[in-house]
Amino acid sequence: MKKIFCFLLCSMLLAGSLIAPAGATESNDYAMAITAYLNVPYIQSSNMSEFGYIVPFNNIERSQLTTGYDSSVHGVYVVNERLRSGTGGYFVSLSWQIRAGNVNGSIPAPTQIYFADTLYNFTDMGKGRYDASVDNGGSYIILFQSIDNNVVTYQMLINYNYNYGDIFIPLDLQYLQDSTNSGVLDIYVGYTPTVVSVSDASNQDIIDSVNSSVGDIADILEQMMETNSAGSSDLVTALNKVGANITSTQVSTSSSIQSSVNQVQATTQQVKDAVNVMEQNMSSNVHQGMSDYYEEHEKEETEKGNEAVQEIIEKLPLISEVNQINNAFDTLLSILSDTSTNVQLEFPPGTVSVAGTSYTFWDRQTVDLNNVFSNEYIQLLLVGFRFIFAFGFIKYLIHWINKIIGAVFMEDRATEVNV
Amino acid sequence: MDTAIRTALILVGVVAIIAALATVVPTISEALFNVIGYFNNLLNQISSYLIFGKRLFNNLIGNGVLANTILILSISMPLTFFITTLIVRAYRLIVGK
Repeated sequence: MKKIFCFLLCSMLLAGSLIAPAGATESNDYAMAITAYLNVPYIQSSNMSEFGYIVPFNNIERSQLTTGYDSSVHGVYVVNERLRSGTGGYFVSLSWQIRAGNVNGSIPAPTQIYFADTLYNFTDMGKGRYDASVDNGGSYIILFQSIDNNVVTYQMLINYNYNYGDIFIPLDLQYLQDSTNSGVLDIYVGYTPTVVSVSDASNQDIIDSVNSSVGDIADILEQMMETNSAGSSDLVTALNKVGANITSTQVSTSSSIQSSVNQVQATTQQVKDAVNVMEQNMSSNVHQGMSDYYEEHEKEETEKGNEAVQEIIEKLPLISEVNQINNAFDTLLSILSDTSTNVQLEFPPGTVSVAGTSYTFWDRQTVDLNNVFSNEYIQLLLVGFRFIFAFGFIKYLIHWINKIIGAVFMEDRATEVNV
Repeated sequence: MDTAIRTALILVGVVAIIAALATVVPTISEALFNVIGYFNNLLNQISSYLIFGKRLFNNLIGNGVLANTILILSISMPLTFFITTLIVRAYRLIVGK
């Protein structure tokens, strides 16, 4: 059962902190109040003026206390305008102390002091008490914090609803005396209500503080259980109310988270669109810039190339000379590729001009061998010539083919000879 | 390694020859073109005789196309041999075999 309580409280506190959205004021108040409750420092100061509110005891009450019993009910009022102006529920972290002391200001030894207090139906005695109770519809979770010499420090986590008005914590001091010295004891009670605003801490701070305080909570609950288990049912009731509030917080948190997610998605899309537009602009600008660069660069290079080519052309032979070579080659090729068999040659006339007078030594002479080659005997003679020429030409081809092969495989043939 | 050194040396030699010829190339090219010009004029003047000789050769062979083939083979075979020899010698000069 102890472990179940520990687990329930720790889980709810942790869940309430984790799900606290940034935009939900009420739920953040819950979480931050829990955090403030958990983070209330260890109160050890004897200067009770440090607390926000002190409940004094008059002389009569003191005298009554000396008798060991005070039937009057004292209480702590939590009057907070912030709570009154708010809506819904709040968690309030409340702390108070009870200090025992002699009239002359001396402090009795711890072993001589016994504290007894009553919060409603709690009547047990001992060095340290805890209780959980319900008042005006609000849930109290009272944790005994510490006892140091003559001071007992309490902390309370209140689930407060503004409809219930001021918080009144009844504190019925039934028995408080010095066990060995019947001197007058003084009682101081102070409290520090805390309602944390949203902007006081981030969710991560809450998570960190809760995580760091889980161990302390477990220890405190363990101590509570060891001391007394009478208030377990009330504690369960209080925890259930805390859980209900956390559940309502979860609902509002889910809607807030969904709206946040939608907003983030919309913002992300806008950023993507903006990035795309920017990328397109950058791309077009880069392309334009590169085109301009290449155009200018290419123009410069072209001009330089033209100048170089012009210089080369100036140094090269004239085109007429090149054409002269081509003409000579064409003439030679056309002569060698002539397939006509018309063997007829015409010699020019022998004419010489001397002192304006033209002298002709011979006229135009034409040599025609067509008749010779058309002669039958010549044709028969040419057959023998062609037969011999064919053998000779084949031998010529073989000769050069052998030389070509020998040039290619010179090494191999040399090797063969050597072998 | 030996092949690489030989290749590098040959390249250096070729570059050196080209560099040396670069100074005389204009003069050589001018003289060459003059010779070609003379040859062209000479060719034009003797073209009729060359044509006569080619046609005489055609008649000896009996067919003009066959005469062209024989003529091409007669010229190309020694030319092929010299080109092949040049390539083989260059290869062996580089490889060292």
